[in-house]
Amino acid sequence: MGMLKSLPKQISDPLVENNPIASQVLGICSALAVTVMLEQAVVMSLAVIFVLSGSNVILSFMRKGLPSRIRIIVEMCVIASLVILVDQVLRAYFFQLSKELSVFVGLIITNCIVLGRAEAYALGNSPWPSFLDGLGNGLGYTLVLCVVAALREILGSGTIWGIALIPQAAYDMGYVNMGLMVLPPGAFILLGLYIWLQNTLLGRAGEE
Amino acid sequence: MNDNTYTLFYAAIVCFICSFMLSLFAVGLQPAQQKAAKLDLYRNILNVFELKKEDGSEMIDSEVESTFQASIKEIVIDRNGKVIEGQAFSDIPQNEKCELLYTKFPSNPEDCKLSVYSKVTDGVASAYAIPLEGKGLWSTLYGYLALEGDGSTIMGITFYKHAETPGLGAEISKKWFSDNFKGKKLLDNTGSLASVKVYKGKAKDSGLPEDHVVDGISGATITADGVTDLLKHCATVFDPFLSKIRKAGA
Repeated sequence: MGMLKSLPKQISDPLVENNPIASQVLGICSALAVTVMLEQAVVMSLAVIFVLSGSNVILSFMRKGLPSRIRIIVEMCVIASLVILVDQVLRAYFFQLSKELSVFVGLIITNCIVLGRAEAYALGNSPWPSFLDGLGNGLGYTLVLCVVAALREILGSGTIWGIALIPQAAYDMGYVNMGLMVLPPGAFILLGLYIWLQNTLLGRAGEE
Repeated sequence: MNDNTYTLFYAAIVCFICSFMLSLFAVGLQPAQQKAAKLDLYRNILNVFELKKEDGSEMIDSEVESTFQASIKEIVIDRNGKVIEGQAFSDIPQNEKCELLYTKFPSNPEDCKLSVYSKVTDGVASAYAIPLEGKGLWSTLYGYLALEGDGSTIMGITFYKHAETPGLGAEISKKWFSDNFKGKKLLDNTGSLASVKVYKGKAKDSGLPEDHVVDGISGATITADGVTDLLKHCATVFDPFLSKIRKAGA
């Protein structure tokens, strides 16, 4: 925990204490969808980090002149543009990955974390802290996604980053991959366990 | 300036900047995207014909292009299987090409055009790849089916474009799934079209003849059924052309 303390609060806070997925239960939809394989989860996380810190910075610059009546629409406009940008770049330079992710990249627009951080932080703070906040929340999202994806890939497919982990001998002896882990309910169960574990470790009592 | 005018003005500026930036990037990245899509298609076709480098390593982009040009030939045919010489498929106007999808296929014009790829070894066509197209669960699946010179034995199958669920339906583009198709046959012993069925479960439990069934994907029954349907449909569409090859070979 010592290392965490030396980081700016905007980054350390959303990693564990205020993790967007595990504490605020935001962005669950994509956390269920892209955690079948670790590689996809990592690319998705990088895309979310880019969009989140980018939109936070841009919206923080715009915050003084932004008419409050069209606030949400302008936020969505900025976020959607960044997401389309990510999608286009993936399609040009990482064709294989974009083929596997394409549907889900588009769905970053609807990821509550992005709009949530814009509303809750970027509109009230200057660009540099807003950037750190976006980065921190993106990393918090990454942490949970990678843990869940790694477990799902090992248990559900017997591989990690596409490399076989369970030896063929085990399959010959009757070991079977856990089909449940490949399906969305597997992610739900793991995510629930993750949140339970985190709350226990942080000493949070059950809420009333 | 009153409040409403300012808001409208602000919205207009945001829209303008966003759309300008996006169109700039879309146009700027288009050549790279088209090249990536073309190379991906080439890679898939080389794969389905099992054209690999001798040491088994991955081909780099320029090698993909040169190998493709050296050993793959496009053949344009009409829907009755007649070969049309001297025309590249990409030069044919869109409305003269057949719509391959089974819902659209019956409404095609009588003389619509199709294309197949052939693998050329020492100047002779030794294998053929026919395009596949059909519905999965979420999306249309696009792929190629490679057949040996007998027009019936399957060399390989590949799906290069789809939007099925990663980890489930998307397994159709994985090696384990396509490997199951190797050596299966489109024709049965009597020479009539039997196609290949993706069975829900293990193929050996299906009770179907071994040459016409492969293992299914658990959790992806609808995608798998889609593959069964599109194989049957596309094998029927290309049957006139394939029969000619079978006759020539016999």
